[in-house]
Amino acid sequence: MSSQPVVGRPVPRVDGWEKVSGSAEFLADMVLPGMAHAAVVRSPHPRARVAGLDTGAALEVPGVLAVLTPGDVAQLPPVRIFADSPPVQRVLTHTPQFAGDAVAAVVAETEACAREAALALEVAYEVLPAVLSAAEARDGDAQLHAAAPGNRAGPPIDISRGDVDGALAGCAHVFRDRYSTQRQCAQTIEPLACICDWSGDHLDVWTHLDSMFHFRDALAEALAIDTEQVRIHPPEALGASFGLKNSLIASLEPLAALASRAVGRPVKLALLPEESMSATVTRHPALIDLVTGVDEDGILVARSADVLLDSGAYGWGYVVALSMVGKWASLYRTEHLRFSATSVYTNHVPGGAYRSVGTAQIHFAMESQLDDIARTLDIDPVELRRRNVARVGDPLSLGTTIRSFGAEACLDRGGAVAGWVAPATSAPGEAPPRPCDPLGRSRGRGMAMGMHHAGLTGLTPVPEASRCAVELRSDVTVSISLGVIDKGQGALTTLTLVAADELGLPPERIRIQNHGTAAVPLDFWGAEASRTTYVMGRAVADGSRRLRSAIVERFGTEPAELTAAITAGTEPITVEGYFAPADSDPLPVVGAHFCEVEVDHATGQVRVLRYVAAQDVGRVINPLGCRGQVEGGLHHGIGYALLEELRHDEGAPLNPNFMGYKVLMADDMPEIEVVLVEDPDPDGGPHGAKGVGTPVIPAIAPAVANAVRDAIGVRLRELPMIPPRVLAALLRAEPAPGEPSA
Amino acid sequence: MSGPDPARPVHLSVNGRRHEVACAASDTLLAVLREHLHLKGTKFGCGIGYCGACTVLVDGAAAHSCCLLAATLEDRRITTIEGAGDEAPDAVQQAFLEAGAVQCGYCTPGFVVSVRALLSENPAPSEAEVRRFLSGNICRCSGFAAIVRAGLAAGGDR
Repeated sequence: MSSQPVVGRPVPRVDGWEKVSGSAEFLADMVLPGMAHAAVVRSPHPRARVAGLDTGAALEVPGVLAVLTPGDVAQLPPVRIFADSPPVQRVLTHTPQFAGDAVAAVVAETEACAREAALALEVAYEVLPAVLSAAEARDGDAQLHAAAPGNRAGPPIDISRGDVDGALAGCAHVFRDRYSTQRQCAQTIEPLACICDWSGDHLDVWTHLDSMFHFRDALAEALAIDTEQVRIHPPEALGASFGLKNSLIASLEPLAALASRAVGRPVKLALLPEESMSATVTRHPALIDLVTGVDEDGILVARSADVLLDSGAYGWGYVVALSMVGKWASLYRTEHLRFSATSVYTNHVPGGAYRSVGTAQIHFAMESQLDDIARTLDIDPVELRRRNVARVGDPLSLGTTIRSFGAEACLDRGGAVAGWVAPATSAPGEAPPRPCDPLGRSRGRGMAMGMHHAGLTGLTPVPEASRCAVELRSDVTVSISLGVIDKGQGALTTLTLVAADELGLPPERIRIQNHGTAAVPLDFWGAEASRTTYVMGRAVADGSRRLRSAIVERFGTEPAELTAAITAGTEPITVEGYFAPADSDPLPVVGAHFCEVEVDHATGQVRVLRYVAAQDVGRVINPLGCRGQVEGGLHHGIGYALLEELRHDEGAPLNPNFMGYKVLMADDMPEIEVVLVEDPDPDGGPHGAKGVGTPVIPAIAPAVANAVRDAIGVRLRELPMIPPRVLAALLRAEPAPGEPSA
Repeated sequence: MSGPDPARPVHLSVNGRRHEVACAASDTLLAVLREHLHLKGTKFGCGIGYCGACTVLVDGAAAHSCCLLAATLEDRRITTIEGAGDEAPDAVQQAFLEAGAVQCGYCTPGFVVSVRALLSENPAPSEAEVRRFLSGNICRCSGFAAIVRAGLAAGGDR
């Protein structure tokens, strides 16, 4: 038995050397023999009909092998944006529904040829009036999809408990506020690409993805072939996802597969960075109306939320709303609740999944409003959370009783590290001005809580389960085969540590492998929804435990005492590992964040100075990985709060690249302190671990927004809080001569 | 590609070796490194000089290879991620590994090369200097925190 515990000790990533040396092979680096290249022709109009398509000039470009048009895919079913959403998006379409929708594709010997020919392809469009706001889609007459009256992107969600209206009537204070959040892009540095090789009956695919079996099934359906014909191979290295690749992209994998079939050669389709940003999927913009009634002590008596989600051309906001409601309902105990969500199609880029699906949006609203409630009642925002936050023993929205919930520890320890002192408030409703320094800047501090889930239990009809195959080899190494995707979150390393710990072996003797859908047992959801440590980890722990027992039974020794001499001449031992959560809900994961900002009153720029993130991770398996996920999450969350938005001009994307889509740079980031709270869940991941990558996100935007409110004395309820909005708010706060301040 | 941009022979010095490459006037250094010289460690991220995934050294100074035309670099000393740390990590790479500064790895070669450039001109930078110098590279995974720690650790070791 290994004397030093491996779990919880900082170790370098198992795949680190390949990455720091530049030798790790990403999709763009892959070359298959005979490989051709494809490029996509996209509608510049957000809504149109293709009136004519002339492929003549394109076909004449030297090196062009084939041109694909909507007629070539007319027999095929559309593609689903989520595993459990209806198929809506055509691989190539006569009726583009967003600027960027694919109308044709060119296959050529080189990428340059393919792009040149794509530009030469002549498309005549009949431009149609576009529906560019969710409200217009919900209330107007234009119907964008034949099968979706009222442009509904999913059934409405209407859930209630108790008597909200009756309870509100009796509340000491009622708060009614509207919040709006923007279209944010995952914006991976690596542009999306895939390689498809359709040879005879078999289709081999290498692509960006989170979940191989999901993609296998979705792709087989979209191409009207059997799943057995499709083999999905993960690339050696994959440049992040952040939820972007929870979706098959209609104009990527299915299109490349059809291109390969058309030319009888492997085809690589590499999206331009602009396409990767604005022609794939984004976060769903949301309009959120919250009504909250509290008593004099700040106890939440009744809460209602009305949410309008913009699903873009082919998204399915129903999934987003489902992810949202569970956390909104259960983070704070409230007797009377009502949640109503409507999702609509518009003529924008489709909405998909993006780290903190639904919870990023609803927490901005909920935590901003709680901050206003705290101010009005003159209660410390931290104390207000303490009085209302859920506890062990409370029910989650699908019925599971909470077993472990480190909310108070996060509030306590995060607050202590931050040196939290409640912001001073004046009389209810007034906005005390913060003094500016001689350079015209004021500082403020804010806090917020956040809750998300690990795993997908109860959120989809596809069962949540993971499987692995664990093999003892004659060289006394252990090989573990499973459908894990390490997109940077460190899953390979974390699972190696889990196995090493169970087996009592040093991590160097463990090899985690994923050779594709043909080589690993079924795990449908892969690396989606922060499940690799929790669900996959439990399967790996199970398999490792079984192998250890099998080793003891066969050889009479613990794995640590095995040598090649002992195993010589014996058959390898292979066992299976399996885990399926028994709960009705996914694992709840909570955090509390504390933030200090500085606002420049002349420019409206907000600078986050210091940020303390306390997250209940259950148990730290991989300390460097855990900390990295929190620090990295802040890039996305602060960006969501202050900077990031894919903007459009009459439906045409305005800033689909790093020049115009602003993200934080190294000298923009705050001083960060990560507090990893360990409140193990006895039926969570290995050693009670929960998850961290997604759950870190929801608290960030409201923590920043609350700090901005403190700094400038005015509440912003629209994200992102870009300088023009901050300046406008500051101007609103200025009293006219003779009038009191707002 | 058709059109009046014929490939002409250009001599490039890359990682200490001299290569003769047929370059069109419009070929970027990034494209030549990856497609002609098969040095794939340098990555294509944005193509417009913002993300820094394509960072190389030109005469020791960090540059975005997606914005350089290969044909203009005759007689310049070009160093890529492959130019150091051949079989074992150099001090910068080791610092990245120990700091947990590598997540998806796509931005990593660009950052390693940038940190090498920084330390060659400023061997013991402050945190502010590291952050300022690295503001030409974007990482979407790490929030830069561990990368900055790696840069400081690599500097401190010298």
